[in-house]
Amino acid sequence: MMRRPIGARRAGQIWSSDLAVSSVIFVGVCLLASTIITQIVRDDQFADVRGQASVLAELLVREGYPAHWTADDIIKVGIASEHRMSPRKLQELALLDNATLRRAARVRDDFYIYISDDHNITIPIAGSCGIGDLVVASISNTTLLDAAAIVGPSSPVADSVAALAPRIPLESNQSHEVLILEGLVFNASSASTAATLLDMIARRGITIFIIGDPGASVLGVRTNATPVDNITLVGGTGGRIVFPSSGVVSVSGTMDTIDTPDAEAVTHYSTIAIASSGKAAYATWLFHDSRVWYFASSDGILDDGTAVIDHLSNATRSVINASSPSCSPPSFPDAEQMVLYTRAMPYRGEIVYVNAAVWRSR
Amino acid sequence: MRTQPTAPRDRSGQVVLEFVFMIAFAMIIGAVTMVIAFDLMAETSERQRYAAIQDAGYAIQDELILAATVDDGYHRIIDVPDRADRFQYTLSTDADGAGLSVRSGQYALTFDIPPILGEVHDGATFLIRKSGTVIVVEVVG
Repeated sequence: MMRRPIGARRAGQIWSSDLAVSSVIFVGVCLLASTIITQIVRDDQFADVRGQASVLAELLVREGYPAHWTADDIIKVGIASEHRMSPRKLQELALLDNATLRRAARVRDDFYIYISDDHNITIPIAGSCGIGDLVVASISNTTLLDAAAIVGPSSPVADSVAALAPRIPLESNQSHEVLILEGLVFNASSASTAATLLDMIARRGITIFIIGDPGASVLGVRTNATPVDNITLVGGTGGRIVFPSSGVVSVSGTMDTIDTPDAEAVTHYSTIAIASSGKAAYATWLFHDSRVWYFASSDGILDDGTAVIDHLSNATRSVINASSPSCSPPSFPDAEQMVLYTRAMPYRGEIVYVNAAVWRSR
Repeated sequence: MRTQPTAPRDRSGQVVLEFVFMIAFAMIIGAVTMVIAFDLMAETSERQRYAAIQDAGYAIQDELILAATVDDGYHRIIDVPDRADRFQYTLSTDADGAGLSVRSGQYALTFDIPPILGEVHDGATFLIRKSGTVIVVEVVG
């Protein structure tokens, strides 16, 4: 080390230009190191968010697992069925709690799923504009169902299944998510045609309501002297007939075996109509990707003089025909990282876009 | 800091003192930077651990779902690594064979799986579908 001559006057060697330069270098290196580390972490997080969004979008356009999953048994999410978007699965998706949805959708961060059409108009899912971690304004006066086609004896379509089958324009009629079939359009001699027709509808994921007298309909054939007790459900096994008046759940008799893998048991019931002079019941089951609701009555008359069957029919129509919600495009939060993936898939004869956004909050 | 014009011995001592102060200051800055960086890296590491074991669980889940959705006769040997990324983890299967638990560090994740017969272990694992059931066998040797 060099020493200054004794007595030489020099104020504070510590402030020399050497120290100033070295300090600047030192601070610069510290800043550079912290910037590099932060950038590495940020890149890693972005890759993670992007990976989640990509996986979510890919999962959504598939069938999921089980193929005909419900909110009770879902393992892997997917809203497609037979290569089309399934309204039923969308409705089931909306029923999932957040933890189950996250697990099935394989998402760790915040996410939001919404469906839009060619004109970037958001299509509601089960009365909501989307599903996920965005808070969207609740939409009043909506139902799970957007549209319905009502096919009954008084409708301009057929009065028998044989004539009904070719006249329901299924391909052009895909804007309907719901089909209400009044049992009287069927007759006992048209069982196979009815089954074929239902099969065609069910493969499109359309929710089917059948309203009828089990004694007259091939969809609820009375097999003994007691109406309603033993009926045959098209496409159903393990179905249950539920009597709202007593709450008794009884296993129905012989089940049709046209196509059974989607059938499920009904484990709950809600009151639909009670008449002192007759019975009303409903059954529900999965048939392909459709949920079938079958309301049956045996000539009961309600207090107001309405036949139970008419009551059910009117109630179903009024519920289904509620107005559809309108949604504005989602407004995403100011996130540090956010990725939006869009996948196209067929729905109602058109192409819709499944949008999956994942973001990490600041 | 101003130095007093005193004897050369005093000034020399002051220079040493200031040098020590500056070095100490630099060390403090360095230490703070290190602590922040370490904290950031530790947080990232834990996040990576969570993501890694989750991905590992999903990968196994996918294999079991694949085995459950194909026809009888399907068989496949999969290699279940003993580490996910750089993180060690343990696997366990629920008694009813319908859930798979993956544990690592403070995390324990459960994955729904199709019902299986047997348990999933790390290492070579033989999957076979027979009579509609997915059978999982550890490959020994």
